[in-house]
Amino acid sequence: MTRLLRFLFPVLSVGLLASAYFLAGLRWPAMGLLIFGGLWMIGLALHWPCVPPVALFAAFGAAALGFIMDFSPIFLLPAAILGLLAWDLAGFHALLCLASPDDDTSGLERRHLGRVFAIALLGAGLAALALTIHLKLYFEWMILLVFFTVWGIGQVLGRLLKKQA
Amino acid sequence: MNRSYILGQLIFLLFIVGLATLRPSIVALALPLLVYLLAGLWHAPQNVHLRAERSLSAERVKTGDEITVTLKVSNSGSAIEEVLLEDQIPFGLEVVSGSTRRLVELPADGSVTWTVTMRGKRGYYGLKKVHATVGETLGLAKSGQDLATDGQLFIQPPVLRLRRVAIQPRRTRIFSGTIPARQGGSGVEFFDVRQYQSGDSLRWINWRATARHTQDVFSNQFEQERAADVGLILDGRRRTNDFGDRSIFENSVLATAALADTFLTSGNRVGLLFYGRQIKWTMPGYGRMQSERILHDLSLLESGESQSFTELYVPRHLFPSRSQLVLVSPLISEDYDMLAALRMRGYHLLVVSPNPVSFEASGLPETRTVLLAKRIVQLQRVVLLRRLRGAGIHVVDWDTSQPFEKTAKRELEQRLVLPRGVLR
Repeated sequence: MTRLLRFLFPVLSVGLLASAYFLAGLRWPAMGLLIFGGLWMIGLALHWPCVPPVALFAAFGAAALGFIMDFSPIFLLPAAILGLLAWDLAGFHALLCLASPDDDTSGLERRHLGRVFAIALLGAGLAALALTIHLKLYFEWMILLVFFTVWGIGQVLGRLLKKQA
Repeated sequence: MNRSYILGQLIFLLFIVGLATLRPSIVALALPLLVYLLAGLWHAPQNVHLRAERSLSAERVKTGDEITVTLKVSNSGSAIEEVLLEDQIPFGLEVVSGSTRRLVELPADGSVTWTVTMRGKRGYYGLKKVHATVGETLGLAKSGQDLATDGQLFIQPPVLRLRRVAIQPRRTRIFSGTIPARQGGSGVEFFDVRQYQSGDSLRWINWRATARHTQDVFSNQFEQERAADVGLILDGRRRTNDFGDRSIFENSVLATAALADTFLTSGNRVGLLFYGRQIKWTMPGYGRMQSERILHDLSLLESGESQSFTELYVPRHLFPSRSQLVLVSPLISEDYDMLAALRMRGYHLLVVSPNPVSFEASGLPETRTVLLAKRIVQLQRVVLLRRLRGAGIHVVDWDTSQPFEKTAKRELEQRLVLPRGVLR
């Protein structure tokens, strides 16, 4: 299952992004995205470790650029979430490759896919809600929000790095 | 790169861009990432207490034998969604069946047990730890730890069975053995004729000699066979053993193991001196225990740089002069002086020399230059061996492309007849 989905999600993600750009009349960027999708596939097939994180950044970058250029969020939001899922499954597949034949990989796979799909749905729902109700965030509130989030993420990462050390 | 760090960076970047462009939709784009990150951290294992136990089917095996390693990892902490267990086997061991890795879920108070079959090269292997990478299923909150285990493995060299090795040191011990002691008594080989003494068996009477003398009766004496002190010296110097990435040292170890076993089986007192990266003594002893001790020590040895071989010291109290020394070495020209000095001190020397010239040449292409070089070096070696034989040293030149048993049968089973003029 993971083997199939880790190739399917990048295809869907790049396809949706390219469609959004194409429908907005930007043919060359859409072509560029398709070429990038091809490279993403090759990188996955050849197990290049740098490809999934770069592709994650690229998918979210292209989606963010689309939002700035006021493209349809119907394509952009699912494309970004599928990029996240593709990145997640690439990492999970690399981990499954380390398992021995005696391991219950199907059980691990079932639980992982179940959780990651639930998270993706929740994330997509929250993002869609935020986009639908058009929350008005004033500049001061946004600064506060950003600093609060950065502080939170910093705390989390600090704890993680300490734990690993 | 850490997965949570990647996510954190991307979220931060989206916030910055959203802030810079004053677009809440970009901040909204970061929400799925935030949910993913928080879900991963929410399920991070809190209380990790893992313990590993290892058992081996045998701690000492011969080269080529398989060994089964059983590992059990128990979790006495909270449940762990995913743990990758990696048995870190040292270089030199190879897995025959099973896997050194397991990827499992470990519930609280649960455990996982698995077995791996391995084999390896001669040596000592410390199997001291299992690496555990603990995390949740999204792989965001991973932590690694080494779980200590008890385990050591000695892979000993194979022991070739030799029928006998004919040595004849002048000094023997009082215990009976197989070494001719140059003294009359009970034995197998004829030694001398002397006047009949009461107690002599009638079967020992030499009727031919008695018939020549009317008054006296003569009886045969046989050569006593006793145990002897045998000092094995194994040369592990890098410059004599290693040729690029190939080494003849394993052949020397094989020969030493076979010789030690043969001498001990014959009832001799055998000690081992290794001269390589370090100088290592196995104190002389008798019997099966000593055989195990020598094999154990042989499994630990590696070739390496050492000081000059001329400084070889043979403790007189352990191996008095006139006892037997057996050197296993590929030999270089500089060794002649040291061996001659040992011979002059009264030691009986047997040198078993794996031929380094043919060994090195077997790994080289057969060009004209190589063949010429091989011929020149082989001639130098022949000269060295001839000089050693002239000094009364029994030298066995072993072409390692042949099995050692074959060479030993041809050159070691018969008593050495030294050329005329050489003192025994």
